[in-house]
Parts: sequence; C-alpha cells; structure tokens
Amino acid sequence: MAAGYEKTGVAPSDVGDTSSLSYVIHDVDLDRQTQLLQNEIEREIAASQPLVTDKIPTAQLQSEYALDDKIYQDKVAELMKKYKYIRRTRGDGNCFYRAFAFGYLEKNLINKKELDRFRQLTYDLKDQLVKLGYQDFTLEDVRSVVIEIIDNISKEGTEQSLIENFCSPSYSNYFVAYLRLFVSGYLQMNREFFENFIEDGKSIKEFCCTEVEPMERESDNIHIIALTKAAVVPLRVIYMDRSQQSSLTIHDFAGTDEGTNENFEPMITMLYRPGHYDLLYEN
Amino acid sequence: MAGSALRRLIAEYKQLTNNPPDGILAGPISDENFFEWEALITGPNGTPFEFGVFATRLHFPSDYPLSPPKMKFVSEIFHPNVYPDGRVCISILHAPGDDPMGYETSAERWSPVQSIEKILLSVVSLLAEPNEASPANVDAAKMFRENREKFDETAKRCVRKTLGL
Repeated sequence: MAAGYEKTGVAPSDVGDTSSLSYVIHDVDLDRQTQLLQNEIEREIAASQPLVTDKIPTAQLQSEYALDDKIYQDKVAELMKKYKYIRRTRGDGNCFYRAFAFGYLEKNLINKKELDRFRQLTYDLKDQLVKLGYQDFTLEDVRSVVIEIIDNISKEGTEQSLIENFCSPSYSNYFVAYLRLFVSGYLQMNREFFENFIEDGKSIKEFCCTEVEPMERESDNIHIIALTKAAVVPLRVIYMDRSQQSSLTIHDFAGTDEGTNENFEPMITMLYRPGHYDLLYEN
Repeated sequence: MAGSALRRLIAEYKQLTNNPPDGILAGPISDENFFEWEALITGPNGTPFEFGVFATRLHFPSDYPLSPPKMKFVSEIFHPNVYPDGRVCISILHAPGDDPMGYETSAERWSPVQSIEKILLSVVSLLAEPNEASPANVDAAKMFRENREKFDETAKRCVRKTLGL
C-alpha cells in the first residue's frame, strides 16, 4: 500500500515541486488514474486472497521459499517444530488488527467470562474517547456493530461462523476500525510515555489521526504495545526475516505492566514476516 | 452494513441540522435516499470566493464511514484544487491507504471518526487557502501563482454566477 504512488512512477517530489509549473496535461488527472489503478489492484487482491483463511499446515510455507533459500528454509523448519498451523490474513494494511480480532475471539469462543470482560472494555471505550474530544456520533455506529459481533459469538460462536463473519468485509472492517480506536485512545491517554517514541516530530494526536485511525495504515510495535495493553491481551509474535541467526526471534507483548516471564502464556500468537501478520497455532 | 451506514448518516444529518456550522447547509437530496447529499458552501470572507454560494454533491458508499464519500462541485468554480469537472482534490476525501499525490504524511486523512462536517470545513479552508502542492486544475493553479489579480477576477465571476447575476 505504501508504495501506491511508486507504481505510477510519480514521486512526491515531482508533484510537490512548485518551483516550476511545467505541468503537463496528462498529469492533471493522474490522481484519478492512480486511484483507478489502485482500485483495480485492490480488487485483484480481494479476489485472490480472503480476509482470513482456514487453518493451513505450516509445512506449506516451505514451498513459498526457494529450496536453496537456506535462511528461510531453516526458519520454516524451526517454526514447524512448534507451530503446526497458520491462518493467513489479507495483506491490506489491516492484517495486524484483523489477526488480533480473529485470534482473540477464536481463543475465547467458549470463554464467556473473558468475552464479557472484552465487551465491557468495548462498551466503555466510547465514553473515554468522547472525553478526549471525539464526537459521540462518530463512535456509536462502529461500537454497536462490534458489540453485535461479540454478542453473536458469545451466544453461538463456532470457528466456522467466525470465519464467515470475518470474511464479510463490513463486519470484519468495523472490528478493525474499532481496534484502531482502542490503540488511538490508549496512546492519547498515555501520551507522556508514548511521545518519546513518535518520529517526525508529530504529536500523539497527529500520529493517531494519520497513522492509527485511518483504515489500511500499517502497524508498528507502538500500535501493538498499545493494543495489547488497552485490551489486556497477551500476544506472542514470532519474527521471521532474512537475518542470519538461525533461530526465530520471539517477542512477547504482555497485556499488563507486570512484565513478561518464563511462564508467559499468550492468548494469541502471530507470525510476522516483513510487512505482514498471520496467525499461528500449536495444533 | 448499509444499515449501519444509514444510521450514521441520519445521526450526522441531525447533528448538522441542530448545530449548523457557519456558512454551510447540508442534507440528503431526498428523503428516499440518504446516500446522496447536497451541500451549499458559502465562500469564506475576505477571499475572492466571498458571497458565493456554491452547490456541491456528496455521494456516500454503502460502507460509509469506513470509506469516505465522493464530493463534487455542481456550481462552476475556478480553483487550483477542484478539477474542471467539479471533483475536489483534498486529502481528507481520499480512500484509505491511497496516497496518489504524495501528500505530506501529516495531511488530514479519512477515518471513521471524521465526519461530513469536517469534510465541509476542510473544503471551506481550501477555498480560502488553495494547496499549491496538489493542483487539480492546472490553469487555475498557474494563474493563482502567476497572476493573482486575474485569478481573483475569474473567481469572482464564478461567485456572480452562483448568485444568478
């Protein structure tokens, strides 16, 4: 997504250069052409990649990398020892949130107490955001869809119904939108702490408006920390990249401030490969 | 989820009717279809668009507010950031993830916590201060930069037209 304009060969500097006004006519509607191209690419992705897939054996990952790609083949072999299945999410910039929502609800399908806890957090978030200056009517609609999903899962949730819900863009995307607000609210309520980690001299508020709240903006560690803390859901991320070390890098995100320890029990486990998050299962 | 979109649009319509922002009048074109709106925007004071009442149309997608509406000027307007066919080029209206013009990363972006009111206020600001970095109407952008007097005159001609003069 981030490379959207590169595909047309027009760099921001070409457009932002006000020193010469030698615009050529065919550039005028570039904006629209790019948008059409982008829409087409998104349609292709949507047609070929469901928002979430069924569980797939991790062994399938072997075929994704060249046989002589030793670094990745070693890492896949390492991964397969512990994790038998992967569930893919669509690479649309929302993957972290979608994986989080799906992984969390799936883990707690029959755990009514935990779902009730999360439902309450979901319910309370709106008022917290209103206190931060958000307009009530911009939150109410999104919250009510999310509450509806949680209530349906509580009543008669199965893995299959969850997949159906999450493959339906409207349901799935409302959940993503609201998790983005969880992150935004948490960052703003703990701004003294997080301010130090924001680059480009942005304020926390600006960061939330441009990098958290808009759909399809990708997530970084700061988003992950904020969401796990806001939802109080411990998360383990297994990093798989081209770094030379043969072992996989594990990063645990605690849901509370008590810190992680050897007995860390994640509620959700994700596989991170540069730019993308999928779900992992031990069995 | 058109049901959620409809509820949201009704809530926004109530809000805009009860607390209308200065110089803006907006609502659905007909009671039958809440997904097509008309908005009347008054040209901001102290700008060449002052006294003009510009008619615009907004079309909302069925997944609003996850995706932004599309907006178009119906009244003729000569402005660097409005395409000759009336479409408005402003960052808050771009589809999520879409960054065709290489906007500053700090540019306002669409998200579900934005609103119709915020869009219209952004457009009013744009009338007052064109964004030279993303020209949609080359002639207007060029004239705005090189011959401000002529630009103001052309803008005022559009104002007179909106008033039927």
